[in-house]
Amino acid sequence: MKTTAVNKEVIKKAIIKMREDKVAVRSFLQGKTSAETLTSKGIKLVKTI
Amino acid sequence: MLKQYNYTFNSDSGYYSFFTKRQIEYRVAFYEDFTLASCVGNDIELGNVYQITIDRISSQPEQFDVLISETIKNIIAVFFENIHDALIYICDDNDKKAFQRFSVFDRWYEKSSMTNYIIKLNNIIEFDSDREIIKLYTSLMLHKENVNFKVIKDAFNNISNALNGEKP
Repeated sequence: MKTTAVNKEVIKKAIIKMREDKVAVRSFLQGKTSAETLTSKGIKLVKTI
Repeated sequence: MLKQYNYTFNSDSGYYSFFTKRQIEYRVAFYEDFTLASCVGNDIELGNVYQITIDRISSQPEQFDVLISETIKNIIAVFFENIHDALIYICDDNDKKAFQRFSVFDRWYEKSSMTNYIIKLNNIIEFDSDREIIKLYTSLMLHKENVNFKVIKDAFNNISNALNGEKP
């Protein structure tokens, strides 16, 4: 595995987004946030099965 | 006798749902997650990585119901029919209950037949975001035959190392 691309600040931002995405999706599942809001945040729900 | 609840995919909303015998609805969503992609170079292939969120849509008190975990385990097991996909599950500690949820998820996995073909890695991530201390209990699940197994596993394990300033 290449190791040169690891950047602490980039990872921090990615972790924060991962957490924010979960909050947004939970809100959506509870009917408090619209699908459009998820889309605007770059969150794409998928049918995996 | 039921072994699990029947679940459906709501194509308009994009999530799976099922109702328990007490008419409590559970919703399960899968969505693309690019966290691990940020840990590797642009030219490194990871395949599809998704995050899963499970939510109970009710204010009723929770009661033990083994069919709930059986249903969710089945949804996850079917997810891994696509053996090159990987799955991230996170528990936020903002309500100080993350460890309990994390432990429940761990028990579900350990008691399932998925242990035969799915590897589950745990990683507790903690760092100062300048606004607050973020603590996340995270798990990564991936199929033993995933073609990107080593890269995905290394990327996940390197998150904490990178955040703590250690060499990946």
